[in-house]
Formats: sequence, C-alpha cells, structure tokens
Amino acid sequence: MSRNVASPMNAKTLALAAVVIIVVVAAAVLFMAPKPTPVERKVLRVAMGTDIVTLDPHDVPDNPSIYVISNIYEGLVEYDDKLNIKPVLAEKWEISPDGKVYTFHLRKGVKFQDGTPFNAEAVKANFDRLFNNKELANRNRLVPFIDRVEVVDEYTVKIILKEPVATFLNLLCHPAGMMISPKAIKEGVDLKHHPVGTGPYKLKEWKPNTYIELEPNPNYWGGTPKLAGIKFLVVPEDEARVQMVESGDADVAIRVPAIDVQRLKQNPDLNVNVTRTIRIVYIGANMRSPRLQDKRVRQAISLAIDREAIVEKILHGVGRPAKSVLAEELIGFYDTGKLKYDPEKAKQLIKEAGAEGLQLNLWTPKGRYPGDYEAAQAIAQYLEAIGLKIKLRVWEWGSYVAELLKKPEDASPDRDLFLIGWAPSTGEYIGVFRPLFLSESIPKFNLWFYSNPKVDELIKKAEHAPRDKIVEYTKQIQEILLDDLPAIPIYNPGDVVVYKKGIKSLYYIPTEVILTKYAYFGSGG
Amino acid sequence: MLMELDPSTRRTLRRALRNRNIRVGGVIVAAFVLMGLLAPFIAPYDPTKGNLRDSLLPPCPKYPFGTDFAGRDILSRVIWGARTSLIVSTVSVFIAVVAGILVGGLSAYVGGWIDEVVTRIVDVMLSFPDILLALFVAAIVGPGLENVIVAVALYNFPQFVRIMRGSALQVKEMEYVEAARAIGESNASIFARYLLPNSLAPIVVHATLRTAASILTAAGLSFLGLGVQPPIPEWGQMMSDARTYLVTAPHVWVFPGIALFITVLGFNLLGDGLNDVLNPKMEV
Amino acid sequence: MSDLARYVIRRIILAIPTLLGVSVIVFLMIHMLPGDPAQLLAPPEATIQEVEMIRRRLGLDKPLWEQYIIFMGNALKGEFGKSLFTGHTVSELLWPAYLNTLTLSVLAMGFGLVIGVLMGIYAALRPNTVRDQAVTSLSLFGISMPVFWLGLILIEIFSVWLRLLPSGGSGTPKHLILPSLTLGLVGAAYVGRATRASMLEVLSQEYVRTARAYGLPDRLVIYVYALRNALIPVVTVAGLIFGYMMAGAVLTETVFSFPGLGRLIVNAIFARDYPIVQAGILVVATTFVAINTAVDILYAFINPRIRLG
Repeated sequence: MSRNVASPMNAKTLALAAVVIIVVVAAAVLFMAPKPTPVERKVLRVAMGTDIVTLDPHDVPDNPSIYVISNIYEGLVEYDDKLNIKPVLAEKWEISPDGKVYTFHLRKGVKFQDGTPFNAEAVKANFDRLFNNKELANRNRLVPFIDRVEVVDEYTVKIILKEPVATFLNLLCHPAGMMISPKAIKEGVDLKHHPVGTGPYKLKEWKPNTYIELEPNPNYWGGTPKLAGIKFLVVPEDEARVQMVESGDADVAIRVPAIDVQRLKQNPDLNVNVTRTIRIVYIGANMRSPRLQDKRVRQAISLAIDREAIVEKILHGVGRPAKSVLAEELIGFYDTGKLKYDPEKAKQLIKEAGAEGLQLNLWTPKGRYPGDYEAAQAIAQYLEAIGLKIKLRVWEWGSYVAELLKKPEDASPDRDLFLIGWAPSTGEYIGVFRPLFLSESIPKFNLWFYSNPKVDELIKKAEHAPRDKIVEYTKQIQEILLDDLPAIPIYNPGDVVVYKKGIKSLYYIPTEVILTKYAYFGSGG
Repeated sequence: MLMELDPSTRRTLRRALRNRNIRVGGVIVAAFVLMGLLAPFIAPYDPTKGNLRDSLLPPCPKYPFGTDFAGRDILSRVIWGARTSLIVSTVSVFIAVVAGILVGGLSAYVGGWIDEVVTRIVDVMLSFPDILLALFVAAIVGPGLENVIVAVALYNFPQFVRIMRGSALQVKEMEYVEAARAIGESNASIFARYLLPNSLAPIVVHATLRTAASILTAAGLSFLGLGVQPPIPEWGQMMSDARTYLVTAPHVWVFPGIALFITVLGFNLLGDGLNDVLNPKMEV
Repeated sequence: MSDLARYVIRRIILAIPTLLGVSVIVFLMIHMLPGDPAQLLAPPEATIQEVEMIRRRLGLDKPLWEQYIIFMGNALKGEFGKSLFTGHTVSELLWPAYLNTLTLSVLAMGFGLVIGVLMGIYAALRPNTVRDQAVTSLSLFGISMPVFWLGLILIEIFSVWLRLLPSGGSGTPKHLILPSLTLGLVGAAYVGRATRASMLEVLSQEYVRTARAYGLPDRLVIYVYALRNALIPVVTVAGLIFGYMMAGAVLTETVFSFPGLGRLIVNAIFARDYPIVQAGILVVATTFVAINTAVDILYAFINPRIRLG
C-alpha cells in the first residue's frame, strides 16, 4: 500500500490541536473582553451622532461640539430653554443710554479649572484673543461690533461697542463669548484638545470617534456637580442610539429619528421631548456657477419643491416648512409669503430662461441634519419633474465642510446646488445675516458667494437699529434674499431627545444645544 | 473556426441538461437575465421617479412591493436592479475573462522572464481579498457605476490569468501542439485551436461562479455607499438604508435582499452543475 | 536541515516579493489620485507653509523610489502619519480597530469551524440521502447569502423581535455575538462544503475500506482514521476563509456599527482621510498574505508530500 496520506499520528494530533486552539482562543477572548460595567447611575451617558470637532469655544464650527463644550466652559451670560438670557459669570450688568457701553459686574470667587482666578483681566484676555487671532472661526460673531474692552476694577469690566447693537447680550450667549483661562491662552495650550474653563465638568478623555468623557470639577463655583461624570458616546447610527436608550446602555439619546417617536412615547421608562429649533436647512446656490446665473432658474427651483410633503413624509412631522431664511422664533423674522409650491409656474420659468435639460450638481451630506440625504433625493426628483437634470453627490461631513469653506478661487467648479443647514447660536437675526449673507463673509460662512451691496448696507443698519425698528430693516433684507435666492430655505427641522424618566434639569435650548450641565438623576432615576 | 458538435460534445450537452443543478440554476439565471433585459418593458413605474406623498407604503395593490422613502416603487426598482447587476457583473467578468485569457495564455506560451513577472504581479493582485481591492479602487476613482465595473474586473482578472495559464502550460507540452509547431502552424492559430478550447471548461465554470461573486461584491460596495449611486436602482444600494427602516418599513430591504440572494444562488447552482458535468469526479 | 525547515524558509522567502508588491501598490495610491500628493496628505485647513512642510517631511519632491523608502521606513516603525480630520495619529486609530476585527474574525472562525465541520461530517456519513441534500443545500445557501442581508435578518430576529441581543456598537461580549455569528455562518457554509467533499473522498479510500473489511468497528474507523485525514484540506480552507474574514468583515462591521478596521477604512475613504486608507489597506493585505503563508506552512507540516515538491 503506498503512503498516499499523512501518517495518522501527525494528522490526528494536528487536527485536534487546531480545533482545541481555536476553541481556547475564542474562550480566552470572550473572557478577556471588558466586562459590562454595572450601570453606574451617577455617570450620565449621552448618545450622540457625530464625534466632536474641537473643544475650543472660540473656534467651534458645529453644534455637536457645543454639547460638550457647554459643560466645560461658561460665558458672561447664557440662554435658557426659552431663549431668555441668564446671568452666569456676570452677576449683573448695566447698559449705557446710548446703547454702546455694557458694564458687567462679575461673579466673585470663580476659578478656572487650572486654578487661575476669573476676573476682569481674564475677560479682557479672552477678547484680546478674539481680536488678535484672525483664524478663529467665531471671532466675527463679536469682534466686528466691539471697539474695546476696559478693565475697571478686579470684578468690573466694560465692553464698548462701535455702534449700539440691540441684541448684543444675545450675541454674548454664543460660544465665542465663553471664557477660557488666560493662563492657558498665554501659554499657547492646544485648546482644541485641552480645554480649561470655569464649568462644572472638565475633560477626562477624548477617544476619537468613540466617546468623550467628562469628570466633575470639584472647585466649581456653583457647588459640587451632581453627576459622577458625563460620557458622550459617538454612535453614528440613529437606530443604534434609540436602542441604547431603550436597553439602558445610554441615558440620553440625541437626534432620535422622527419615525420612532410614536413607539417611544409608549415606553413608560422614557421621556420624549419633541422640540423646535432655530435651524433652517437650505439648498445653497453657488452664485458664481455659470449655470445658476439666471435668477429665474433659482426661483423655479424654489417653487418646484413641495416643502410640506418633505416635512410630512421625510421628517415625519418633526419640523416645519421654512417660511424665510430665518426661523420663525428668531428676532427679526418676517413672512414674505414667497416660499410656495407651484410646479407649473416653476416649469414656466424654466422655459422662459431656456433652461430645459440644464444639468445641475446637487451635493448633500448624509446624516448631519435630520432627513438631509432623503430630502436631497426628494428634491432631485422635484427638480427633474420641472425639466432639470440633477446629478446627486453624497459627501462625508468633514470633507463637505472643508470643500464648502474654500475660497471662491479654490472652490470646485462643480459647485451648483448644495444642501446645508444653519442654526445661529446667537439666537437672533445677526447670527444669520452677517455670517451667511454679508459680502465680507465670503467664504466663512457666505458659502453661496453672494455679494449684494444693498443687502450689505441693510444688514449693517439692522444690526444697530433699536429694538422696535429691527423688523423694518430685516423685512427688506428678507424680501431681497427671497427674490435673489442665493440660499433657498427648505425646512426647519425639529429635534427629538429621548431620556430616562427620573433625569432632571436636562434642557434643550432651541439653538440646538442639549444642556447637560445642570442635569442630575432624581429619585426613581 | 467552428467547433463542430461531435458526438462527445453532444453527450456532454445531454448530461448537462439532465443535471439538476444546471436546470434549476439555469432557470434562475435565465429569469434574472430576462428581467434585466426587459426591465424597461416589464417594470410598472420609472424606478428613479417617485411621488413623495406615497413614501414608505407597505405592499399594496398599487405598489406590490411597497415604496421607499422617496415614494419610488420597489418592485420596479428590484426589476431594474437586475439590469444594473446584469450590466456590472457581465461586463466586468467579460473584461476579466478576455484580458485573463490573453495575458495568461500568452504568458504561459511565451514563457521565460515575462512569465515570471506576470506570475509575480498576479500573485500580488491575488493577495488582496476582493472587497479590499474594490475598496482600494473606490478610494482612488470614487464611487459610481463605471468605477464599480473597473474594480470588480480588476479583482477577477488575476484569477482568470491563473486558470488560463495553468491550462496553457499543460497543453503547451502536448504532442499535438509540438506537431503543429513542427509543421509551421502560426502561433495565433495554435493558440486558438489548441490552447483555447482546452481551457474553456474551467474558464466557463469559473466565470459563472465569478459572476455570482461579482454581483455580491458590487452589491456590497453599493451597500457601503461606494458603488452605484442613487437614484440608479441597485439591490445593495437599496439595502444601505435598511437600518433606519429596520422596524418600521422592512419591505424596503427584504425584497432586494431576496432578489440578490436568489440570483447569486442561481449562478452558484449553475456553476456547480457545470463543474459536475465538465469536470466529472468519481461518484461515491 | 529537514525538508520541513527548508520548505518553511522557502515559503517565507516567496512571500516577500508579494509583500513588497502589495506595499508598492498601496504606496502608489496617493500618486494615482488626481491632485498634488502633499495637498492630499495635508489637513484641509493647512496653510501653504504647512503643506510644504509635509512635502519635505515625506520627501514628496524626491524621486519616487526614495519616497517609497521613506514610506516603508515609517510604516515599519508603525508611523503612518496623522489622520487628516481628527488630528489623532493613524496608529492610535488603527490598532484598536485592528484588534476588534481580529477578535471578531477569531470568534467567527470558531463558529464557522464548529458548525461547518459538524455539518460536513453529518452529510458525508450518509451521502446522497435527505440529510446530505439538506446540508448541501444549506451550504449553497450560505455561500450565496449576502452577508449584510444575513446580518440585517439576524438583527430583526434577535434584536428587534426577541430583544435578546444589541444590534450594534461594541463594549461588551454581547455585542460580539451577532456579528461573529453572521460572519461565522457564511464561513461555516464554505467549511461545510469542504469537509463534506474531503470526508467523502477519504471514506472511499482503499485503506478505509480495508479497515472496514477487517471488521473494525465503524465508528472507530470513521472518527479516528477518516476524520483526521479529511480535516487536512479543511484546515487550508479554514485558513483562507479567516483571511477573507479579516478583510471582508467590512460589510458585517458596517451593518452592526462594529468599530473594526473595515469600517475605519470605509469611513476614511468617504472622508478622503488618505493616511488612514493607506495604512488600513496595507495592514489588511499584509495580514492576508501572512495568513496564506501560515496556512501553506501548516499544510506542509501535516502533509509531508508538499515539502518535497
């Protein structure tokens, strides 16, 4: 008999050994895998959809980062959930009769997380940073309006404006007004990754794309924080966030899909908070694209879209059709009645403009705004129905932002229509008009490269108008913008936050910030 | 250069038709191909145009498979999806086979250092598992239908080079090839008359199996978002939003998944059957 | 030096040009993209000076072969540069993800082997009966099944209906079960087919028939003699499948939001975060080559005929 197989002894031993090894390895791995930590009632676990971009409040371009930043940093004032202004690091203030001088009396006994005392010098140091560092993304929220900052005494500081601004205190609620430790600023600490504020929590660990963990600041001026910590978990998949809060793996879920609201409301352990926001999602139109030069094309695009259907079918009712470039709650809002659904008129305009068969690129992110990707596809369908040819391109958020923020000369020539949202963290009209529609704001954040001197002039007038005259100017601005349509407003998404019953003092600020800094587990939580 | 139907070929054909795998697989594959070819005529709606007011409807008389989030009819999209998969898989496998035959056959025939180099390159290409190579190509050229075809063809190509080369190496040494060379037959003629037909069997089997794998890979790429882009209907792409509608609208992903599964199954059955018939092993 | 040792050395040496080829292709990736390589490898907000710094540091103004040396030098040190969008180094992101995928694949392989081998034996013992048909059909289903569809169905059943297991994410052993089961079932199909075929062949071998003729108890014959021989080619298949799992886990990881290497690479491709893409593909391809080499060596170890060839 020929030796046509391996000798039984070797083969047997080896086969057996192989199987045993695999089983042992699998068992060892299971054994060594981190055991589920017993539910620590005292750490608040928040499931959110994207990783944060930076922890530097003067440079933060997106809202998710603000969720975390708002626990570490504080400003002179802040918003509550009804958009009222509350004192934080400033206890009280006076405004001069001419509206140009704001005198702030600062809270005493406050220390930054690195031990530096908070005082008027610290406030000045922060504004100096905003003035000097021209790269900071948010400096233009405040810098263009301020003439100078004066230290009066240790706990009194004056901010002197160039012109009166009726909503200046609102502007200070923006993260640009948050106070960073002057020592950290001076030493050039990497504030993107190593924040030093006055808030109740400080950074423990930022594991990219996985979680950001905060621990309590024992020296917080407001008393010992009531949580053992806050852990923001990065969970990009909407469904996964919902499941986590249903199964107890998370305490709070942000940006819950509208489609789950009904079901979650039936759950006795959970609170469902459907809120309004001040965000508008637009279809931006590149004013420098050769294909979009004709105003009639842009107007046709606006008329072709059934905004009600989008809100009903894609947002499942969590939201409202946009009525203007501003959300309805904002100071300065005016309904021009121009945003209608009229596909017949749209077709007519396209014919008049000779734009039948015109090929346009439509860019959209996916998962950044509620219903963004789906709305973009629906919009593509609407536009094709009036005779345009749409090429859809889906972008990942990071590279989308990078592309959109490019200067006009560096920007891709393919930029035509792009879906983008904006929520002014200032809670009022200046936070929309100035960054989005002022010529000087090209490219941050005038992404449509719109330049209209009349609008520029009106915006500047509106900024300095007394409270009761504001709408006179903003009305004109909105009439022009909704005629020129550099940014075509589509919808105003709502937001859904789901959290365990028993959690108290969890606030949703309509500027799309979930304020966890005061939250705690009440009884039964 | 006709290959006449001699008795042995006829016998093979008859055996083929009796093989159950070939029958069942063949029917499925034929259905798939027909669906793809006739899509414009048999699909009830335009797959790229939906009525938003009809979004996410469950299966009903108006829309037998229901609608997706944009109000598009899923039955029509499944039918047109067959067309997309048909195009992607057949074109990419065809390119891979033709290129593979040429490169593999020539390389084996010519031999020498050219053969060595080709083998090395093929080895390197084979050291990338399919999704990875497809991802690599997607990273470079971006998403899109044409690019998926390129990526899948690129993955299949080295496999056919190997098969062809293996076959050609064997045939090269055969007596009748030596004889043909001796009497001065041209290389091209030798290639076509001897090398090619003898490699046909393993290549046909492998091509069938690779078509199945190509459909899966293309669907996988589209599922990830790197393949065919909306609104072009593609089964994998239709399933990419599945997580959102897992609970509330499962019809959105169940039907394309079934279509994909059955089609791939059909090709695998066919390939297995062809393997049984063309490479017979001893029955146990 | 024994045959075996010689073979091992030869096999390892043969793997080297393949690895080199892989690294060259991955290295060339940046140059195959449209645009200036230094720009592509710089964070989007980088200033002109920063781009130039990167150009100098990576030697992008030098001839291609020098650049390759720099690239490989860094790679071997484990330095793959910095992720463009998160500011973290690629290594920080890569190795935890790699470990996760490895864990997933090992578990999946475990499932696959156990289920597949058992199924294969079950079928081979009674060939051409209903049992055999059932197993063969199941295996065929398994290899035709799109792995992401299978994952979705398992999620629907175990997460949504039965609420037994989490549908995604990571952190506890529970999170590993569904993804590894999904991958494992597909692997089991391949292993099952190979086991059945191999067992059938072995059972028909002369010496088995002889042993049976000599009256040795059937069970002894089957398990002791046939199985160990039948498992030889199965080991090869298993090894290859493990390699595919490491790479192909991409789809499973996406369905289950599992933070593995495949998902990292896919997200990086969308984000055009090229340092991650390059490093990820290099690591996976290298692993694949290593596994193939290991499988060949293992095979030679248990089948002496190969060593002599």
